[in-house]
Order: sequence, then C-alpha cells, then structure tokens
Amino acid sequence: MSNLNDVGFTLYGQNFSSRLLLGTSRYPSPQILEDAIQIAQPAMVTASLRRQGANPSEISSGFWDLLKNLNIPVLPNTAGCHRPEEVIQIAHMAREVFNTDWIKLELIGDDYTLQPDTLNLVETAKTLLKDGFKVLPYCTEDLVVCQRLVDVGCEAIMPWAAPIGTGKGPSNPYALQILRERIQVPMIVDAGLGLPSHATQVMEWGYDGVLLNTAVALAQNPTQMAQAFSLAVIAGRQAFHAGAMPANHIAQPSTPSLGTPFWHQA
Amino acid sequence: MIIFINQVRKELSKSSPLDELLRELQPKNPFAISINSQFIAKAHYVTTMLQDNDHIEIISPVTGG
Repeated sequence: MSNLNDVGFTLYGQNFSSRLLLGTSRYPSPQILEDAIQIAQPAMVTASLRRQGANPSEISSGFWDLLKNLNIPVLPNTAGCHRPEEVIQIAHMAREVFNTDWIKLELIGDDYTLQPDTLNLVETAKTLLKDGFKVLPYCTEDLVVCQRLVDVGCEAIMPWAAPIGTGKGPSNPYALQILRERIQVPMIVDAGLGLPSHATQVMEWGYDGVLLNTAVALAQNPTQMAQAFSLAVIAGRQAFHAGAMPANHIAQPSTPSLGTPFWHQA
Repeated sequence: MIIFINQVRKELSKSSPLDELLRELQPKNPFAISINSQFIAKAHYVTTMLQDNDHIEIISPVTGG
C-alpha cells in the first residue's frame, strides 16, 4: 500500500507533487486556463517566449501576472526553433525572463508533423546541459536517440506519443513499451495525448509522467478535463505498481463453478 | 543610423548604449533582448553599444505547450 502515495516524482533532484505537466496555450480564456491549472495542480506549467507586442491576445497580455499568482514552477519551451543556435539563444533568454534553469528542449525538424530534429537534438541537449540547464528534451520514441540523450547527461527525457496537437494517443505502443524497458531515467510522455485513457495507458506501461496541452485546452469543458487527466495519471501509476493480470485467450469464470445448482443434472 | 526593433525600422541620431534605448522604449517587464540573434544579458545593457543595422529583438512570456 506504500505506493498509494506515489503521486509525485523527482526530476534533476527536485521533488514534484504531481506527475502531470500542463501546457498553457489555446485555452478559451485566462480564467479557464487558471481554473484548469488550479484543479489539476500540475508539477509544472509550460510557457514560451515571443516578440513583445506580437501576441496581443487576452491570455498573452495578462499571462505573466497569472503565472506569478499560480506559484507553480514554469517550464519554458523552445517551441518553433528549427536550428540549434536558435534553441540556445531562446533558452538563455528564457532563463533570464523566467528565472529558471529548466528548459523544454524543442528542436523541430519537420513542420508538417512537428517531429523533433533527432539528428541535432543530442548535441543541442549537450550544449544546454553544459550551460547549466535542466534539460527536458522533446524527442521521438527512437530508442537509440533516447539513449544518446541520457548518455550526454539528460536526467529525464520526453518522447512523444503522437505528433503535437493530434490527440491520437500512443501511435507506436510497441516502441514506447520497449523504450520504457530499456531507459532507466524518468520519462514523460509529451505530445499527442487526447484522452485521459491515453495518459492512463502510458502510465500503466511505467512512464513517470505526462505533459499535455491541447487535450485539455480544446475540451468542451477544459477544467473538468484537466481534473480527469490528473486522476487518470494517478490511476495509471497505481495500476503500474499494482501489476496487471496476464491476459488470456480463453474465458475463465470469475464465479466458482463448483456447487452451481442444476448444473449437469440432465 | 538605422536599427530594427522587432523588425520595425527606427532611426537613431547617434550610436548609443542599449540601456539608453530601453529607457526610451520602456518595454513591458519581464523581457529579454537579443541583438543580431545573440542574447544580451541584462548585466550587459549598459556596455552594449548599438551599431548601424542592428536587429534587436525584445521578447516576453506567452502561453506555450
């Protein structure tokens, strides 16, 4: 029963009281964003950087005040960066703006799928780690790339379930399960989750956390969906610890058949 | 001399330190600066002299996933 309290985890030596990381984009209003975060109580919320004045939307204009009031750790991202040099510059700017060493490393290699540029990801992560960042790299489920990220010093990695914003859920379950078996550092499934059951599924496989945004922000009731994901992550983690029964091809009655009345009397 | 601030052209009468320009612009806090794609830490605002054709980016927090 000791694992019932296993709702949080540790990344780069820092303890977090939740295994859910929540994005802050695409919500219908600042109030709904705030409500969703309050009810989910995520370990971290993600944020980004853009040219001042380029995002005059209601959410962006009051976003900084909202972040300060929530008092939840911020994970800045390098979204939109296509070259390692861009990532490095944005990471340093994010460290100054958000006053944090955490960085979600996003290095996009393909605009259609928003697939990470895995060929340059490892060296970029290495540079950021050398510069003192706590790097959470957004990567694919490629085992070798993930292992190389760990080799250069990433203490946690974030493989995708499916392309960002698709909500398709794990598109390569076999690879994700093998990856979990092979990689020992904390792994957070980032991107492509659409339903709480997707989150539960990857947590049942032994993943340490999930990061999602659109699945909550574009739900008909984002606040309720945020709570659903929060509970789903806990359920999946508990199921992982509990250990699932082996699946069978043949039905087995759960009610004892011995002593069944009228059975085989004919 | 001509500089560009977030891609908008601006004329300066003479070369001046970055912090002087920021005092004039009054960007909304918090923000960070890059010049010609190089990050400029706050500690260097006073000593960074603007040059003709510099491209200055002023960036701020926005929502993100």
